[in-house]
Order: sequence, then C-alpha cells, then structure tokens
Amino acid sequence: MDERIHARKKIPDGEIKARFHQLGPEALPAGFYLVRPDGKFLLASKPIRQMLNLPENGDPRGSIADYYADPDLRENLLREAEEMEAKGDWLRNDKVEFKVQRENGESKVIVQMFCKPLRDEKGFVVGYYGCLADKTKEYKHREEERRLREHVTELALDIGRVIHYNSTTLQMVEKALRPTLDFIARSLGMQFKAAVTTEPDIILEKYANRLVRALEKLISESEKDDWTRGALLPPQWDFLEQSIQRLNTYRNEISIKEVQASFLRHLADDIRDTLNRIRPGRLPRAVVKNAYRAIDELEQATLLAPLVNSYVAVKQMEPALSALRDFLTTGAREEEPLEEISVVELVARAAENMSEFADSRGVEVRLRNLCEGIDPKVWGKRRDLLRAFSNIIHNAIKYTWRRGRGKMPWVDVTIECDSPYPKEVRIAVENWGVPIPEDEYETIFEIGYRGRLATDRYRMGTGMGLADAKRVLKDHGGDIKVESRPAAYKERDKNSPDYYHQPFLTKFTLILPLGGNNGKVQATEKNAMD
Amino acid sequence: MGKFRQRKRMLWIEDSARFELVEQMAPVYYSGEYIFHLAENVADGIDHLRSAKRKGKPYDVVIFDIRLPPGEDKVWQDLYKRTIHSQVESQLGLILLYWLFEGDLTGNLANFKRPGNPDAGKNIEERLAELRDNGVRPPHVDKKTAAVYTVEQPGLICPLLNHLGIKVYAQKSIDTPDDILLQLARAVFEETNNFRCPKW
Repeated sequence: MDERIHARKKIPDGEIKARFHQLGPEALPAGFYLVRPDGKFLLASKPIRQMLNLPENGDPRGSIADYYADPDLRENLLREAEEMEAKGDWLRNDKVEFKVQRENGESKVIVQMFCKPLRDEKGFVVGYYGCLADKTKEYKHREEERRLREHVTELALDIGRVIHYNSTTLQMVEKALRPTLDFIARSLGMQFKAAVTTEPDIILEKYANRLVRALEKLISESEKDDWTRGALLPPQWDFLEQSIQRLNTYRNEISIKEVQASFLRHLADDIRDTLNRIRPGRLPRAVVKNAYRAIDELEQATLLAPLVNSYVAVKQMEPALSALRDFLTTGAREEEPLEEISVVELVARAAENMSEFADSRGVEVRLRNLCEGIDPKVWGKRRDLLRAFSNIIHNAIKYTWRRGRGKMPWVDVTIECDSPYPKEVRIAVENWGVPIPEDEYETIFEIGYRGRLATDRYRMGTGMGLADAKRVLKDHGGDIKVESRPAAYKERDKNSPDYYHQPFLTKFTLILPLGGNNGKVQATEKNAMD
Repeated sequence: MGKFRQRKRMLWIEDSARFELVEQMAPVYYSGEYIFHLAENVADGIDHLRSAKRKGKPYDVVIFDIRLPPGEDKVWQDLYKRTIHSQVESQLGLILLYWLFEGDLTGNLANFKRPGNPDAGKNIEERLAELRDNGVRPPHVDKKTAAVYTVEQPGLICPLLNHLGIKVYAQKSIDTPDDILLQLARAVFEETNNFRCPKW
C-alpha cells in the first residue's frame, strides 16, 4: 500500500476550497441537484442519479419535472421555495411522490426534498438547487408500522370486548352462586362469610363426624334384639359399619383434599339407599330421621366445597380480568389528563376496590400512613395509577396463605416518606405466603410471565398485572421493586426441597416521585387515611 | 370391599385432576380397589415411578396425560421453555412416553407432523436426544400397564401410541363418564378391545 495514503499536509485555506470546488458538489455522497427553471438537470450527484435512474456519469440529461407523480405539484413547490427564501429558509417537503421508469416498469419513489432558487445579479431566478433523499423504504416501514399499530389496537379492542363479555359472564355466575351458597350455608347454620372463609375440609369433617354419630346411634339401637336387628339384612348392616369406618378414615385415605367432597357425596348417597331399605317400625323413628338429616347435611356440605371454590375463583378472576381489559384498551381510550393525586386517597381507593376480593379470601387489608402529618401528592394519571396499585394489592391478597384456624391473614399496605421533606413516596405492600424466588425478582415484571410458584394452590392469573404496574410506575418517573424472604426467624436451608414450601414475607415497593416530573412538589398537611 | 384383599396400585399423571376432572378421581377411591396416586407434572410422575420401583411396588396401571407441565426438574423445564411459544403443543407427556418406553429412539419420529408444525417429530427427537445427553435414565415401567387419557385427537396420537405399543387410549370429552379411570384400568388388566386406538 502507498504510504502516502495516510499522509496529511497543511496548506492555505483558499487552496483547500479551490481543490474542493474542482471536485464539485456532485462528489458529495448526499443527493445534491441543480436544475434550470424548466427543470432540466444541470448537476445531479450519484445518489440522485441512482434514485432517478439517470446516467451514472456525464450530463444527467432529463428534467426533474418529468418525475413528479402529480405534474402540478412542482409549480406549487417552486412558489413555496421562493416564499421560503424570502424568509431566509429552505423549502422542505418530506413526502414528494416521484415516478421513475425502470427496466421492469414504473416505480413509486418517496422523496424528501430541500429546494432554494438560484438568482442572478438582478434577482431573476435562473435555476433551483437543493437535495433529494430517497425515503421510500422509511415511508413504507412507517406505513407498515402504522397499519400494524392500527391492527394491534383493533385486536386489543377485540380482546378487550371478549374480556368484557367474560367479566359480565363472571358477574352473572357470581350472582347465581352467591344466593345458592348463602342458602346452603344457612341450611347448615352458617353465616355466608364463615362458609366462604372456612377451609372446606373443616366443614366436611364436621358433618362427616355428625353422620358417624348418627349411624352409630342407629346401629346401637338395632342391637337391642332380633326384631330391631332385622330392620336391615346383615350385609346392609355390614355396609353401614364399613361406611362409619370410611367416614372416620377418609381424611387419611384421600390425601387429595379436592376429591374428599366428591367421595363423601358418593358415600352419603349409598348410605341413603341403604337406610331406604329399613323395615318400618323396627327402629325408633327419631333415630332414623336423625340419620337422614345427617346425610342431608353432609351432602349439602359436599356441595358447599365446590361452590365455595367456584365462588372464590370467580372473585379472584374478576379484578384480574378487569385490570387486563383496562390494560388492553389503554391505547384506545382518550388520553387521560395529568393531575395532582393524593397517594393516601389512591391507596385507600385501591384497597376499597379489592375489599370484596379480600373478604372472599378472608384476608384483612391494613393501611398505614407513616409520612407523619403529610398527605403525599403525586402528579400523574389517576386511572393508570389506581390500576397499578390495585394490581399489586390484588396480588398480595391472592398469594397470602391462611394462617391456621382462627388466625386471619392480612396484607400490610404502608405509605412511607424518606424524610419530613420527602422527594419521593414509597408504598410498601407486604404479605405472608407464596414465595418469589430471588432469580425471579426481575422476570416477574415481564409481560405474560407467571412466577414458577404463582400457580401455588391453583391460583389463577394472567401474567399481565405486574408488567402493567411496572410500566405505569416507570411512566410516572417511578419504579417498583420486590423482595421475598422466609418469614420464620430460623430459615430453612436454601438447597432443601422444602425451602419454598415455607411462608415468605413478600414486599412490593412502589416508588413515585412527589409532584411527578413537573417539579410540582406537594406535601400538604393532611392525612386522609387517618 | 374385602378387608384383606390386595389393592391394586394406580398412578394418574394429570395436571387438571384437581380442576375440571376432580369428579373422576372419586370413583377410584370409592371403589376401594386401588391405592391411588396423583402426579401433576412430569417431574412428579417420574418421582412416583422411581419411588415405586425402589420400593418394589410397581404400579399396576399408569394413566398418562399428554399436555403436561414439567414440574420442578431443570431438564424438563428447559425442554418445556424451548416450546414456550405454545405450551399446549409442547406435549411433554408424549416425550415422557417415548423416553420411558423407547429410550434411545432415533429417527422413528422424523416423519411425525402436527398441523402448523411440520418439524414436530424432529423436535421431539431432538429433545429426547438432549435427555439422553444429560445422562438422565428413565425408570423402568411395563408398557402393558400404560394407558393414555388425553384431549388429543386419535388421528394425531394413535399412530404414535401404536408405534409405542400402548394399547389403551381414551379421549377426554365433555361426556366422559366419571368412572373413566376405573374403565381404563379394567381395559389395561383385561386386555379387552375397549379403549383401543384405531389402526392408522
């Protein structure tokens, strides 16, 4: 290689300019042109020659006027260029449509054009010059993107409509379930809330034991003499004896709790068939009646469990679906105005939105404002923030474990400020229950991702809530973080298979700048939550 | 229910057992004829099969679902993630069956295609090869004890089951009777022509 290729030399500025003029503007890689007033090309740099299929070298020939898809447009643009020149500016048009003849026919080229008139000493226009750039690809991409965006919006709206339909169906199911559940609960002497929040297996156990006692009484009455013993055939008495045994042992025999109700229903049904065979008058009527009543009650209890499960599932899905619908239709709604919002009010409202769901899960939501004497205000979009807060509280309720008989589980929602003159507010939502492994602290915020323990005890979800909440917080100049650690003082070995079977304290912290990005810092002396 | 009669052992590998299929377990318990175990994912299923073998108490009947989640096992989780674009289509149950009953199978599935996925067979083979390369050995299961109970259409699944030598198959539907598991078990024991795959 010639060593001079990298050799540099200092010469006078005038000489540098002269050398550049020798090359002419055609040497530039940009699309530079010079035309006569009638449009005939005098100069055209390489990119323009390629774009308009002009000869690669020499006289470019041809006229720019021939390339306009709309022949009237050129005259308008020239006038505009002359007016812009008077203001000391260039004509700039980002979308001029040219048609270019090529070997395979005419093709459309979208051109970005800069133009200025060239004048003589007397001020007459003697030509026009400027730049042209081929924007066909960008334009096509933009068009494609626009079409795609429209399509996605349409699709999101369609999904939103389907979800709306599903939400409505769920509400109808809930409306039908609620009175049925209420009726069965009352017939078992229970309050609705107790029926929903008590573990179904505890209810089953109670009525299975009641039937055991009723059958034992029946059998003991039958053992008085041959007459009473003859109320049933020996195999039928054997069946009742075995049934007592099965009623006593079903909890150990059937480890899958969900099947227990169905199993007991089958058993109660067969016991009823057997009691139907009792010969009249052989056993005290009250004892037989008592056994029938115990069967009725057990059957009702077995219906209660699936009804409660369905009711809780419906209550669980309702907020998730409505949040998903909101999320999907955000782009299609009118832009929500920014406003000053009280965090205390927002948190209280989100908790209120989730109160029915919390009731159905038997979870208490505790609100606290630790920003002493301050009602922190943020600048943002109320609907979006409310949805984000609601999502996080919903999650916390959903993934809370029951804490044993008589102990009501809770979710703590705490508003925290970092100083008496805070710059940001933190809303911590903490629950006691399903763990989030550390390696999922980031991924759980990815759209569609559901934590690997998220299906614990068959909790349903969409994998959208956390992603949406994070996006909303980020849009407001904030963030959301998660931390999950074993609740016990003495935690188990991390490598133990049981590690994630213990309850974890999981805390989502929502961070928002006070007053938002507009610098409208607000911290008024008010505590609406109190 | 005879007091001293030896009860048979049944394993059902099914992830929906506690949901829409919950009523189908009760007749098994109620019959009193079976010691019933449920595995809700592939890893859990393999654990049950290994443990049964170790204790010298193999299952008399094993009923497999086809669309299964992987469970807590890294190898199966990786296989599952690879098909995350369609978890329904991942058919880990099918891979499990091939792994249990064919082990080092190569090439036999190359022509298997699914609608929209002409490489379905090739994908399964690749994943089986990964299992082999990971040195994971399948527990021994007698294929005569196997039955498949799945939503998969017979046209899609039966050629594979025929090839594997699994004779008992039922398709899940809304009309499936609650005692289907008992019926499948009887079909396994009695080798009747009920619940047979048509020849494809």
